[in-house]
Amino acid sequence: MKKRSPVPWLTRAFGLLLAFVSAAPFFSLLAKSFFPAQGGVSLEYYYRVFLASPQYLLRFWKSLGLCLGIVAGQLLISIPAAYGFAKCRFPGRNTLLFLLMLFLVLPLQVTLAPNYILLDTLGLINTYWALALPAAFAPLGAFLLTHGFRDVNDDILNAARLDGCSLFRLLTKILLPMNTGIVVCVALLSFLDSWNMVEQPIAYLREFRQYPISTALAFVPPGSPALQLVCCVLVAIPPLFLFACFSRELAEGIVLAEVK
Amino acid sequence: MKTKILLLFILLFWLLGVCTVLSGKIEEEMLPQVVTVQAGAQQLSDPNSKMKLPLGCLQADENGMHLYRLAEGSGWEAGTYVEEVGGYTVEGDALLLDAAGEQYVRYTSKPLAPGQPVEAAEEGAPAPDRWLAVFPGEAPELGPLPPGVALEEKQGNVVLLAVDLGSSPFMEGQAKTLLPALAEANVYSFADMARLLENAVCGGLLLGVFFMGLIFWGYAWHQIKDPKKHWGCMAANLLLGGALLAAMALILSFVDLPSSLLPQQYITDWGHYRQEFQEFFTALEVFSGETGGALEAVAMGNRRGYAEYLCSSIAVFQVCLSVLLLFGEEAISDRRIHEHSRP
Repeated sequence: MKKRSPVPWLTRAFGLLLAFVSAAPFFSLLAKSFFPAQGGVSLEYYYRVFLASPQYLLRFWKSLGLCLGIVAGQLLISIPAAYGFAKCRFPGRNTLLFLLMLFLVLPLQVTLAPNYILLDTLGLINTYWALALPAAFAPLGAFLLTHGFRDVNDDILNAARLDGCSLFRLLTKILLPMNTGIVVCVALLSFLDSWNMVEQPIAYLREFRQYPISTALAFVPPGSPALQLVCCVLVAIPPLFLFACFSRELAEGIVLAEVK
Repeated sequence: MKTKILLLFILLFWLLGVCTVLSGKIEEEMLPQVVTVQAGAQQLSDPNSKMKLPLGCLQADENGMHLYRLAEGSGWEAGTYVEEVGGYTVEGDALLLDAAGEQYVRYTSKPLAPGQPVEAAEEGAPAPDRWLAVFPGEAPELGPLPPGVALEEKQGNVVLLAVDLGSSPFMEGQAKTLLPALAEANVYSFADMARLLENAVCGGLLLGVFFMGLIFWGYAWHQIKDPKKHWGCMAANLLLGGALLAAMALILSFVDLPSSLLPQQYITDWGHYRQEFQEFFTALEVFSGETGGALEAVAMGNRRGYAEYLCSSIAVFQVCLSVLLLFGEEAISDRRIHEHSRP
């Protein structure tokens, strides 16, 4: 009888351990929000966050709007930029692409100060533009899309041009449909990046009322930890929604970009 | 599966929208209204002078007596809230304390707790009102009544008073200061009760709008088996969901609840309303005959019945309307599909 290798069991065990370690904080958060320190099940803190005052939900919607704006900006900027890098020939193209990749690997803390000086010069400090503009110009989208667009055969584009296809139609009817996975992936990564931002609002905004919910979460009164946990549940809703609806596109986009 | 998840999250986001719209109004209505006094110097020439406050500033609850002052919060707790003050002494009918220039709570529309957000009341024009005082035992002799207050009825533990210039908003503490004999009683304002009942129409509309939203969502869930065939209906329902949110905000702008009859913490504390309604309307039942108080009691009872009927019938009507709308939508959609499939 053939003896089964112990390796699959080991990998399964590690997989389970990883899943448990990753999911445990979330389930613990959910459980503790329903079971505060004293007594049994309580919806008191859910009432306080969702019904007693609009400040949590208004901040939530404001942050959601800001992130959707950033995603729109990121797509508007990165799609033409990626087309330029992938399909246009101009002097210094490779150097620029190299610089783009370099900015991609720079830690956020390195760019925070130069961005602050630039935004201050533009008079944008203490406005939402200070959060939206640097995020919309983040190089990740252009980088991923450049790789996607490069893989599209030039003959297809030339044929379309011969048929009188404008640049706009070329992008919307050929390049984007052929790279839907990457576009969705860029939108998702950009959304998650801006939804989770903490340092930028603290650096660029002076007033607490302007902070997006991800940053304001840290300032929830420390006397009521259950309240903080319910706020965390609220903050987790959009990423959960994106993961539930677009998990396949997210994985496909990352794989496609790597393969291409 | 993916469409179902999408639909579930649409419901979740719609409910979050409903909560946002509701919470704005709930916060506005639940804020206790307070009348404040500023501590005044007793003897300005004396360097060891103490500030003086009326004794009535002490708020009593089951944990004892409390003195509150107004403070401004920041961050998540931005706004005006109350904090408890200690270190005062009682001398005669006054409180003596060291702090100066701060605003102390004199009257409040609801019992307070330390850290509770409050709203400094803007006094409205005084209006004629009736106060119903319900004592735990037999009602005592009220003694000489202040000008503008007349005794209308007194039966067992219930006293009905006619007030020419009732304070607006009504505050129980203010009534008890005006008439110290009411100290042991629960005092209700007829004007506030009438105001609460007047909101029945809005309550019914809100309930109906909420159920309409759920019905539209349920219909979309039902149609999900064939989303391509019914995409028009689903898009229409999505738009209707947004319109319902707007309708909810519009209805809420007409809601005006009396602070004195609302629960201390949760607007959804149904037990509080049940207890208050029971005490108020049971107390009214003791009045009989053709006196002014008895007639007023009957009128208030009728108003309550009318309000309950109106609230439930409006809600049921809206639910029926939404079902009819969906039937109409379905018929139009089927007709269109039938026309398209004709050779």
